[in-house]
Amino acid sequence: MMKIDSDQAMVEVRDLVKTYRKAGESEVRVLRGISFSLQRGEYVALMAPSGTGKTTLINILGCLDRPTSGTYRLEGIRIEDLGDDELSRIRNRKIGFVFQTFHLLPRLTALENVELPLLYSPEAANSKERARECLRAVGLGDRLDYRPHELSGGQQQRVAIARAIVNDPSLILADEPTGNLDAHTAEEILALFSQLHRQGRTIVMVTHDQAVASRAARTIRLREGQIVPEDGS
Amino acid sequence: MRVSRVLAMSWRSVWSHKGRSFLMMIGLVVGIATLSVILALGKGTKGEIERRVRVFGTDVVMVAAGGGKMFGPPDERVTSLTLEDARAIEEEIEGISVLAPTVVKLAQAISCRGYNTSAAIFGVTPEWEWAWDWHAWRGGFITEEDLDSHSRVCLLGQSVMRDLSLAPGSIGEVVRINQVDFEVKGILEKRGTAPHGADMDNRVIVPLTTAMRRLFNIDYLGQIRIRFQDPKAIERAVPRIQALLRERHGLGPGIPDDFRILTPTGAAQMARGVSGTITLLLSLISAISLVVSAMVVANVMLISVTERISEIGVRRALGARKGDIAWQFLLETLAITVTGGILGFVLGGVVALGISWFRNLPCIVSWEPAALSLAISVAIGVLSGLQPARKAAQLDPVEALRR
Repeated sequence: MMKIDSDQAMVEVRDLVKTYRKAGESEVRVLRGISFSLQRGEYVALMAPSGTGKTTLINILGCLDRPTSGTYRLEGIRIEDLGDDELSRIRNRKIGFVFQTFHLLPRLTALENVELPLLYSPEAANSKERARECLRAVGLGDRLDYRPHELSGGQQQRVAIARAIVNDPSLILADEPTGNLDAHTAEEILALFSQLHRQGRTIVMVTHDQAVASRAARTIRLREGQIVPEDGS
Repeated sequence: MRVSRVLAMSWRSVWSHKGRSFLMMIGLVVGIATLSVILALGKGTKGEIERRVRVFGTDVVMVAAGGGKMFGPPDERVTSLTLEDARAIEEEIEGISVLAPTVVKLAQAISCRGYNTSAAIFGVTPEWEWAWDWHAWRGGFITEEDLDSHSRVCLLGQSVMRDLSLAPGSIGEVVRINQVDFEVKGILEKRGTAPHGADMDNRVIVPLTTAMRRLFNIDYLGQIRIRFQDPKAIERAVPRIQALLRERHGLGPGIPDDFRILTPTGAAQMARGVSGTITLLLSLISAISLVVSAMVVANVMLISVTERISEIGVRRALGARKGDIAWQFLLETLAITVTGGILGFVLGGVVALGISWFRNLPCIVSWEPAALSLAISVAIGVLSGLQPARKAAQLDPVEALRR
């Protein structure tokens, strides 16, 4: 069922529409027909002013939300056809999330936080060892047993990145990963993403900062729920 | 998700919220502890009832002077029960193996070599030994000759012996009862506690004739103990004895009995009556605690779901299915209630042993209350954990992550 064709696009989005209807108000069209595709190993910045549906798009790409209409194929799998448990499974195996506010579980150690996705995948063996490797890869091999509040913001985001790659995902989705960090730390985190890109990972990073976006090889701009045509690069 | 992992995770969550978990457990601990106490004491009481019925005798009917329903000793002011009544019963009622007419006087002063005590005096015939199956432990029993010669001999119960600082071998010693000197002819076997709770070893027995003529100058009996060949005959015999005595005492219709007929069934009810009210009260406390604890646990878990919306969102984003989240919260609830149940059972066991130690009540700690405690804890965990678990599982991950 999950046949992977290396020629096929990693992400294929067609005419994606998302509308919300709040009680007593008129319908809000957050995404108004978005189409794009990403190849394996691409590093893309998704730029958009706030409130223009970028989080909605990320949620759909991350299989947390479903489009109102349109299609989304992740490695050829039609996401809109899947049920809730199957979406959970896709998130677990194929998606790695990095959030602006880190979203680490405060009572777990760095190692346990990184191990968390593997807990939801029964076939994952040696999950402790995998988690340890990933923390080493982000430079926190000496902070395994620290809890989030004992770590700096930059270190917390590194733990979150380690958690995002521990299940070896097809797609890493980072939603303003440097938004809560100072310039110096942000630079370190961006360097880490560049390193992941060099290792061949596919990354979509949401940002509203041109400097941040310039680190990516390609930029997709979103305005009022639609994609601004790319400038030929 | 592997079960052992979920369990470890749930336990961890319980442990890391120690204060909250403890508060959630209190009601359950109290409820289960109370229940364990009830069951331990109840089981002990059951054993005690059986023991007391054995002490009373399973094939015995006792007729005591004085009406009413109390199980205790005869009413000494009632003088209507006589030796002739005893003879009439022996002649008219079928199936009697042995019958012992007895004079009873409670709290009589007894002294020996400067030691004083107070005990019940029983004036008995040689049949008494067989009616009670209660023999001389040292020395010999009262004989027909003692009866005929109104001899001043006595047998001491072991409590009396102890209180007068006499050795088991003190046969021939002289004790003073009611200003009359008696020679100790023997020591009775140890008997223990009567169905109504009295110490049966705190007694002195003397010949019936001596008691009536020399000691108390009376012509009535305190009680008649009747032993039947077959315990099944008792049920039929009781109404006949009652009718016979009413007729002999000239009691017309509407006048209550001036005697009581005590049976083994009555002895059992007597022993049960003591613990009945306590059990009822404790059951009430236990039921209330358990219901309240179920509500507390359910509420705190619901609050905990709200507090941990962001955690739920993160777990969902990392691949937890709805079922994983539901199981997590259900198992956390169960971890709390089962821990509470175990603590409650241990506490209950300690309290039950304490009560039985201080109040001298029998108590048996056994596996049934443990199994019941576990079952109740699991039931309360499932009942109060289902709704929070469902609520947690149904959260929209997109909404949850926004927190």
